[in-house]
Amino acid sequence: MELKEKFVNAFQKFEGTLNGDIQSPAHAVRKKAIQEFQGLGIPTTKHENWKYTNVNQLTQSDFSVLGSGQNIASIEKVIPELKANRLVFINGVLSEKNSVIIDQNITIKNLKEALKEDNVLIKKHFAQYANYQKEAFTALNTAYTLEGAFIHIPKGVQVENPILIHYKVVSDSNTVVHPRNLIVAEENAQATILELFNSENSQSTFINTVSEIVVDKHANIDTYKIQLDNQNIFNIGSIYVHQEGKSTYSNTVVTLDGKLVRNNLNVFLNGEYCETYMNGLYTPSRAKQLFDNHTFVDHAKPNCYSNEYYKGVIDGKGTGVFNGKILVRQDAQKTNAFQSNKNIVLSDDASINTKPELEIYADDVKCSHGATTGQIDHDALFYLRSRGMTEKGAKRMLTRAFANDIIEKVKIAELKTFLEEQLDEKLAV
Amino acid sequence: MLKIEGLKARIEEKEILKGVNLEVKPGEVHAIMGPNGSGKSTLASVLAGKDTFEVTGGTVTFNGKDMLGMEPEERAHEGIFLAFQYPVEIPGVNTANFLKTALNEKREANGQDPLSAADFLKLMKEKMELVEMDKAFINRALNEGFSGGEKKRNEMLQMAVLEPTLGILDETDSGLDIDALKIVANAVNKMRNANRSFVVITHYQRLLDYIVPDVVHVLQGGKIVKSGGKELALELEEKGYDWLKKSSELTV
Repeated sequence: MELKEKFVNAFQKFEGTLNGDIQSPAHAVRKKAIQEFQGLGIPTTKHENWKYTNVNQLTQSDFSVLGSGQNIASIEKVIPELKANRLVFINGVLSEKNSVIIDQNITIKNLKEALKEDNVLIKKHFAQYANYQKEAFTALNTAYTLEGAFIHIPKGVQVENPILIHYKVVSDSNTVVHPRNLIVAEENAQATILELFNSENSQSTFINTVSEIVVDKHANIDTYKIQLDNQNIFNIGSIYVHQEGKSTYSNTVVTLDGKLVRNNLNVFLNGEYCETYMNGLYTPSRAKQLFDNHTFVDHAKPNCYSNEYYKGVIDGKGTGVFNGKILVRQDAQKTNAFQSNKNIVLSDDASINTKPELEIYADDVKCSHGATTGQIDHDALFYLRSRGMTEKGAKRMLTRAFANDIIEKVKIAELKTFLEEQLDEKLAV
Repeated sequence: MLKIEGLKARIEEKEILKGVNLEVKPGEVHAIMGPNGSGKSTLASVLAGKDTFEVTGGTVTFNGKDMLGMEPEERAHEGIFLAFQYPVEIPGVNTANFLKTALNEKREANGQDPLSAADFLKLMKEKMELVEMDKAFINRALNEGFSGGEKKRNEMLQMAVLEPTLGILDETDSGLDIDALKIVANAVNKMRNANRSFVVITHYQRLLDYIVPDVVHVLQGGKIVKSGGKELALELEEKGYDWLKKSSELTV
C-alpha cells in the first residue's frame, strides 16, 4: 500500500483513540485536513516547491503510521547546564517525567490538553496560519494533530528562561510522529523558544512537525531549531509565523545531521514596522543526506524589515537545497528586505541547489538577494599551511570560520557553546 | 642552510624563474632586490611551497633536505617562515587560536609537547611587546580589517612566535610608514642570531638602512644578475636597475 493510502486509511483508527475529543472544533479541522491530504497527495519533484527534494526514500519506507507505541521512561537531558522550561516528547508523546516548567506566569502544556478544553486561544488561532489546504505534509500533521507544545505568553510578560522543546524518537520500529505546536505571544510579550531534535531510531522514522507562532504587537519572539537526528530520520517541518505591528521575530535553524531534512519557514507580516530575522546553517555530508530550507516572507504591510542569512557547508556526497522567497505586496511600501545564501562545497560529489526569489509589487522598496557557492579559499589555505597547520586542520579551521557567523547569532550562551562543540565534532570527521 | 641551484619555475605557460642560484649560510641576512616583475615574489612563494607555481627545474635544499618535495606545512615545521607581501584576511579565524594551533602542530612535528594555554599566552604577551602590538589584536579575526602596517606587524608577530630558522620577508616594507618600518626592522634585528638566517626581498633600499644585510643580490629577468655587499643596495638606489641592465647587456 502506498504511504498516502496508509495515512488516509489509518485515520479512522486514529479517531478511535481520541475518545470524547472527536466532538471538539479541533477535530472538525482534523477531518477537513485528512480530506485535503487525500486530495494533495505526497509531493513529487514535479511540484515546484519540491523540485530538488525527492521524497521517494520516504514514500518507499514501510512505516507503521500510528506511531511505535513504545514506552521509554527516561532519556538523557540535552544541554543540561541550560536552565530552561523543558517539554520532552519521547516517541511523539509528552513525557511528564522528563519535562519541567520553571516560569510561572505563562502557560506551557501539552497541546492535547488545550484541544480538549473550551480554549479561546485554540478557537482563535489553531490551524489559522498553517496552510493545510495547500501543503500536503501540513495537512497530514493537522489531520493527526494531538501531542505538541501549547505556549501562551500573556500581554507584557517577559519569559525569564528559554522554553526548550525536545523531541526524541528512540525505538526499534519504523515510526511516524506529528508534533504540533501553537505559540501565542500577546502584545509586548517576550520569549525564547528552542526546538531540539536528536532522535536515534534504528529504523526509518518520519518526524513531521508543524508550528504556528503568533507574535502580537510589540512582542519579541526568538526561536531556534536544532537538528541532530541520526541517519534514519526524515524530518519535515513547517513553521508559520504571523506577526503584528512593531513585533520582532527571529529564527535560527542549525541542521547538522539527519537523513532528509526539510524546513519550511513562512512569515506573514501583517502589521507595520515588523522586524524579521532568519538565519540558518546546514552541513549535509553523507550519501543520500539532503538538507533543504525553504523560506517565504510575505511583506503585506509597509515599513517592515526582513533579513535572511543562510549558510551551507556541503561535504562528501551530501546535498543542500535553499529556496528563499520574498514577496512584497503592493501596499508594502518602504519595505527593506535582504537575503543572502552562501555555500561552501568541500568535495566533488557534494551539491547545492540555491534559488533566491524576489517578487515585488511595491515601487518604493529596498530589496536585495544573493547566493554564492564556492570552495575553500586557496590563498587562505596556503597562508594557514605556511604557518605549519596541516591541510586537514587548515581546511577545518576555515570551514569552521565560514560557519561561525551563524553560530555567532545564537544569543543563549549555553546553546552557543553546545553548538560549537557539535559543529567541531561534525567537522572533525 | 639554504641552497638553491638552477631553480626554474613557471605559472601557467609563463616562465618566471629562469635558473636561480643562491646560498644562505646560518646567521646570514641576504637581501634580494630587483625591479617589478623580476621574480622576487615568485621566488618567495616557491620557497614556501605555493602550488600555483610549477617548478620546472633545479633543486632547493634546506639543512641538506630536499625542500621541493615537501608540503607547505612540512617546510614550516622544518623552520621556514614566509612573511607575506599581502597577508590574507581570514574572517572568523581568531588570531590567537590560529597561532596556538600552528605553533603546537610545529612543536608536535618536532617531537615537542604542546604549549599549555597559560604558557602560550605568556609567549604571546612577550612577542607582542616585541612588535609593539596592542593585545586587543589577538582576539580579532586574522588580519580582518587590519591596516597595511598592522598586517605586517602581525606577520612579524607570527614569525616571532614560530621562531623559524629561516625567515623570508616578501616586500614587508611595502606600504609602511617609517614608524612601522622601524618596528618591523627592530623585530628582525632582535631575532637575528648565529643560527637564524633571513632572506629580505625588497624593491627599495630604505628597509636595508634598518636591516643591514650581509649580502645583496639583484634578481632581474628571473636570474640573479649581480651579488655584492651592502653597498650594492646604495648603488642601486642611486643608479636604478636600468644601469645594471645596460651593464649586463654590455658585458654580453
